[in-house]
This record gives sequence, C-alpha cells and structure tokens, in this order.
Amino acid sequence: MGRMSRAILRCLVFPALVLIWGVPRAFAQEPSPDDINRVARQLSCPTCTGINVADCPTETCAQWRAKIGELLAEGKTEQEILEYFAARYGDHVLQVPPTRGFFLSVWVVPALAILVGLGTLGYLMHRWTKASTAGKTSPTPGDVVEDEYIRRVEQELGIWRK
Amino acid sequence: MAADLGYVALLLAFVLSIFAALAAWWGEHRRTIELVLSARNAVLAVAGLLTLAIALELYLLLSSDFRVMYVAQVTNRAMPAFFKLTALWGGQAGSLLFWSWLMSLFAAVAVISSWQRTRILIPKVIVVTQLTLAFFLSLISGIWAPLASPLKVLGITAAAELMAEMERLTPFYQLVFTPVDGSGLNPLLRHWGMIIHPPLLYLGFVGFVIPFAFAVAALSTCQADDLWIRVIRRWTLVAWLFLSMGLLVGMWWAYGVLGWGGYWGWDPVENAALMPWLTGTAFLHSVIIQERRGMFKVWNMVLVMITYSLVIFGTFLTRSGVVSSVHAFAQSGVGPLFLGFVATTFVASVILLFARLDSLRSENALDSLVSREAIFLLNNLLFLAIFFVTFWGTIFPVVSELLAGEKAIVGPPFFNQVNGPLFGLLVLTMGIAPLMPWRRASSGKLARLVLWPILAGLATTLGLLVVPTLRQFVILPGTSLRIVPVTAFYGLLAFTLVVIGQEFWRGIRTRRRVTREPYLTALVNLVQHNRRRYGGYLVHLGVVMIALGVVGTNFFKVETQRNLAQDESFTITSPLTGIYTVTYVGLSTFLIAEDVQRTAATLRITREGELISLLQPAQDFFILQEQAMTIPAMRHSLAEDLYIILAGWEDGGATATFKAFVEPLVNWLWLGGLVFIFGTVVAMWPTQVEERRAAVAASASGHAVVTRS
Repeated sequence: MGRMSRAILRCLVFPALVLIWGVPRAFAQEPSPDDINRVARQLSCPTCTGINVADCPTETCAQWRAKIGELLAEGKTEQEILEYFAARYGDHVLQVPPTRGFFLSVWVVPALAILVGLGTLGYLMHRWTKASTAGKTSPTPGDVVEDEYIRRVEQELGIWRK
Repeated sequence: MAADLGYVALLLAFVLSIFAALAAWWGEHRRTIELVLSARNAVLAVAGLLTLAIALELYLLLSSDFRVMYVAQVTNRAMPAFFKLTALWGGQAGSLLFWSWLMSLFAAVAVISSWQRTRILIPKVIVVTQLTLAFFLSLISGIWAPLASPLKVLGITAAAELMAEMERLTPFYQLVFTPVDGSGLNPLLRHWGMIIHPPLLYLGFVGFVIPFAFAVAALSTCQADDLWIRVIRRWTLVAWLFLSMGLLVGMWWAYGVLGWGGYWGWDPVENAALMPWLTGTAFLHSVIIQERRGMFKVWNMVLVMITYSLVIFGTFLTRSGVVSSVHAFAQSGVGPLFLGFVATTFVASVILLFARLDSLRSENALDSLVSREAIFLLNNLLFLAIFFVTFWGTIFPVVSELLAGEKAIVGPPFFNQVNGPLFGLLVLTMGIAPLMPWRRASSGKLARLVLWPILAGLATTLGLLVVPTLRQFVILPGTSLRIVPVTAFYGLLAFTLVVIGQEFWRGIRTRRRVTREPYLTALVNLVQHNRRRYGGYLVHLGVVMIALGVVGTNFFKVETQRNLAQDESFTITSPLTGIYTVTYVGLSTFLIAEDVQRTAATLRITREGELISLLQPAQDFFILQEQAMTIPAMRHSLAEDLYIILAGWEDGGATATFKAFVEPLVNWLWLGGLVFIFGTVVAMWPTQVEERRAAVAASASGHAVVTRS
C-alpha cells in the first residue's frame, strides 16, 4: 500500500514540481545517458536487492534515472542529487552509507580489526624471534638450508632413478 | 506413494545419523569396537537412505507430481526433462536435501578410506559429520514441527508459528490438492552455468566439513600431531577446488547472463561463497608450515574451525535471505535454527581448543622475519583481513538495522575500496614467498634470486609510464590519478610472473645437469615428481592472469549508453585497440521456444571503416513467467570484450537503446581460472613418492597409536 501511494505521489508531484520551478532552469544543458548513469550507479534500487539504479531494469529505476536527468539539467551537482534521494527515501538508497554517526563504523571497524591483527602479528613475531635467539632454534645455519631446494630436487632424482 | 517412501527414508536417515553419532561417542568412551563398527555401518546406511531419497525426489520431479509442493514450486510441465532434474537444487527444500546427501556421501567415503590408517580418529569424525548431517536433516524432515504446540501453550506464539511452518520445508511435503501445473524455474537459472554452479559450491562447502571433523577428532583424542594434517590434505584441496570452480562458474554466469557488464557484485550470496574460500586458502598455506616446521598448530585449528562455521553460515545466507532484511530472517524457522547451530558449534570448538592448548605447542620458533614462515604469516593476516572486511560489509545492513534502527546498503564501492588494496598486497606476498627460504634468508642469495624479477617489474612499470605507445594504454581521460597504483600493480604482476618462471627454470636446469634430458621432458618430470610445489606455482600463475583481468575491468572499463534510430551509429573508444563504431541495423521478434519470445537487435560493428562483426543483443520474454531476460552480445578477443546489451526499444524498433561496454583483458580472467583449476588438480594428484611416504608414515603412526593406547 505504502509503495503504491508513494508511486502515485511520485507520478503527480514530480511533474508538478518540474512544471513549477524545474522548467525555467532546465535549459542549462541536456544531460547524456552516460552522465545520468554516472550518478545512478551510486544509488541502490529501492525495490530489488544488490543492484544499482543504472543497471536495474525495473520501472521505478527508469523513473529515478529520468529524475536524475531532470536534476542534472537543473544544474545540480552529483552530491546534491544523492542527498536529494537520500533525504526522500532514506539512507539505504545510497550504495555506500553516509559518513556520519553509527554508519562510520562500516569503515572504522575493519580498520581497527586490521590494526589489531597487525599488532598481534608484530607482537607474536617479536616474541618468537626472541625465543629463537634465546637458543630454542635448531642447529643448522641458514646457508646450508638455502640450497636445500637444489638438494631436494637431486634427492628426488635419486629416488626416481632407482 | 513415492513421496511417502521418500519421507520415511529421510526420517530414518535422521534417526540413524543421531544413532551413529551416539554409538561412535559411546563406543570410543567404553572402548567397545562393536559399537564403533555399528556406528560405521549406520554412516553407510544413512548414505544409502539419502541416495534413495534423492532418487525418489528426482522421480517425483521428472514425473511432474505436482501434489508434492516442492515439485510444484520449482517445475512445470513445459520444462525439458533435464531442467526438471536440475530443479532438485533450484529451491530451498531440495537444495538442503542435496546438501545432506553430499554430506552423507563425503562422510561415508572419509570413514571408509581412513578406517585403516587413522582408526583412532574415526569415532569422533563420525560424531562431527553425523551431528552436522542430523542438523540439516532435522530442517527438512519436519522434526521441529511438533514443537509448535508446546511453544504455543507456553505463550510463545511467534516461535510456535515458525516451527509449524517447518513442516512444509520437507521436499516430500504433499499438498491436499494437486495443482494443474507448477510455477516453473526462474528463467535466469536456465543456463548451464547456474545448473552446475550450486553443486560445485555445495561440494566445496560439504568438503570443508571433513577437515573440521578430523581437526575436532584430533583435538579431542589428543592426537593433535601431524596425523590429521596428513589425512585431510587431499580433502582440503578437493573442497577448495570445488569451491574455486563454483566461484569461477558463478562469475562467468553473472557476466554472460545477468547483463550488467560485470561478474562480481559483492552480493551477500557471492560473499557467502567467498568467505570460506578465503579462510580455506589461508589454511592451505599455513598448513604447509605445520608440515615443514611444526609451527602454527593452534592457528591451523582456528582456521579450520572458522572455515567450517563459514560453510554453515554460507549455506544459511544463501538459503534464508537474512541479509536483505531482518524481517526476512524471522519469516522462516530456518534462520534462527541455523544461527543457533553455527553459534553452538563455534563456541564448542573454541572451548575444545582451549582445553587442548597444551598438546599444540610449537616444535620450532621463528628464526627470522625475513623467512618463508614470516611471509606466510603475513599472507594469513591478509586473507583474514579480506575475510573480515567482507564479513562486516555483508552483515552491516542487519547490524545497522538492529543497533541504529536504520538500514544501510553496503555496495561494491565499499568492498572495492577496502579489499582492492588488500588483494594487491596479497599478490605482493605471493610474488615474494617463493624467493624466501625457510627459516632465514641470507642477503647475497636473496639478491641473486630477486634480480631478474625486480628488473622485470621495474621495466613494466617504467615502460607503461614513460614509453608513449605503452602509456596510451593506461592513460584515459579522468583516470590520471590512478595511473601510479595501476602501473605499480602491473609491475608487481610482472615481478611475480618472473619469480614463477625462475622457479620452473631453476628446477629444469638442475634436472638437466643430472639427467641431460631435453627441456620439455625435464619440465614434465619436474612437475610430475613434485606436484604439490609446481601445482601451487601453476595456481599462482592462474592468479596472476586473473589479477590482470580484474585490474583491466576495474580500472579501464569503458561504458556508454545511447539511443539510436535505425542506421544511426555511435562510437566507443577502447584503451587498448582503438575506436569501435556501432551501427543499429534493425530489430526483429521471433519465438525461440514454445514460451519464449526473443527480440533481437542487429548491430554492425566496424573499426576504421572495416566491418569486424555483426552482434545481436536481445531480450527474451518468458511468456508464462511474464519475465524478461537480457541476452548480451559479445565480441571476444584476448585484448578485450566488446559487450553490448539491448536496454529497450520504441515504436517497434524505430529507435532502440543500447548499453555498450569495453571490458579490457577480461578473458585473461577466464583463462586464468582454467590455469588455476589445472594447477589445483596437478597439486592434488597423488605422486608415487608421496604415496610411498604416506604409507611409511601411516605404518609408523599406526605403531605409535598402538603403543599409546
């Protein structure tokens, strides 16, 4: 029901708005489909999941693209158009959550996790290498091991020729 | 009749799987071999019963018995027999049955094949696999439905309704009436890619349960030495191979069928398959260190446990729709049950791990930060970081809805921005790792090994930046800022490529010094006698090719949309091959099947006035489902794809709208995928040497087991 009435509203209100104050400014520049798609790609389809407005074949998204075209023709910037849709339909129509409040955690939490991971790894490596210099290491020096690769190939050859 | 029989088989399988778990547990506890034998036989019986259930379900699907609700949901009379059969995994109930069947077969094969070698681990392997299986069977055998009435009495009506719903999730659930026809399969899924994609993915998912079962068995019997690692090595590779193939085929399907010019959308369902692959790949690497150096034992256990949880979580994500909204989660009893199961098994395994920490002491310490071990640790950190970013982005919509009361979408830009650089670093560790010797590197030796790769990397980066004819490939209007990281990444790919080539060359040279055989023979023999190592390098080669395609399509993709009248044309400029001119010739509509109407546009593609191709992008309209499907038309080449879709048309085709993409290097991705799979198969194939070693090791450990018990 909600979607229905919203759709009706859109059909009636948008053209009215365009008529009232869109027309005088609309002659600035005709936006190309590519200009529209560039903005539409940053919005999510409101009715389906996992698809942006540029790629979505539904009627709703076609209307949204038309609206983006109108707004571009009025000389609105990309940011202004995104804000326009977010303000009317909610932040979940944006492809990436706005950088404020709780939504910041989408960026902050992974960054913190990676830092914690790096810290833990650094600490462990430090501890382990210390343990190894403290004598826990096995006796063979590095240079012998380095040619181990060649040694193993030769060893395998030996096995194989038997 | 067949439906009733199938349901009975399902119920029996459920009961027997519980029995097998209990008998194996008790038999081990009491040291009663008869009970363990009985559990083993029950495992085989469960596999047999589920095979019967699958056969009956296939029979029902094929005979269009629409009284069975599942058959009516996923098929209709008009569908060809082949699609009716593959509809087995086209819906929730069927795919859970299919999952369970695969699980029962894997468990049976694992128990039988390891019976001689690792009998001490078998009882707990039975317990873990059969409990997992019992959980899945409980979802589709209506076991939870009787819980509805006591819950209702207790006043928990919402939960009671969910449980009552579970009755209908049985793939053999029968309606009280017989519908005239079924609803049929979603047209998007009628493609060979979508037919083999789910089975591949499920084989991968189920395959990872076996390593987990052995890990838990090893922990709980205090046999956490290298025995379990040896047993699961091939299982892990098999599971990983199927998961990789599932991912690649899924990407290929998305590219060829969904018609948006991409192959990966960071969709929750895609992420669900990627996450266990990431942790599984981390495990495949770090397990090598445990084998060689006896280190990271705890960490390997953790990775196996996470991977198992992600496999269950992934099945749950793809099957419950929870990520689209919290509300979808509460609409079916499957969601809460799955989450409960994932949480329980994860917590239980972590507790077990802590209880057994003592048996997992490292045998060696890290000798140097400049060593193979240290690089592997970094590799693990990166895989885990990418996993965590993906996990967080996937669950974020639900988290924000729960905690902030407002839903948010986390789309591809987030994942690309955060995971992109992490993947770049991963390729870097991939390039360096083969140069690093175990334990510690000496600078002289390292310098000699690193010389040619570094020269190749620098030459590539500088060449792309400086030489004008090459420079035009990486400079596009408006992309100048990205040129530095991109050219650096191409340099990195060249570096890695030379490292891999050098490894092969060193091996061949050494062989030739000893045997004087021809180069090709030396190469074949080299790979044959150390398949894991060189198979691994081939996989890395595949990754380099895949990375080439991913960078090409992500940074240099060109896209344009035009509305054309007949005989009008537009141009699209490729960064690699010049200007394409696309001319709209005309539109035609015809039937390609009884219920499918195709509208195809004909386009003339010319380059410098010369006709190079005729393309026919189309839209298929499925009359029964009232659903349209976009059929992209492509011109393939090693340099790029020209990819065009028909977005719409007016006045019977007087004008039409097209979207055209130039997808640079995209075919390197698919070719790299083939190399990747080939490399995995090479690494997986048993070598004679390895088998001899395994036999020796098995007899030795068998001896150890006897003396210990």
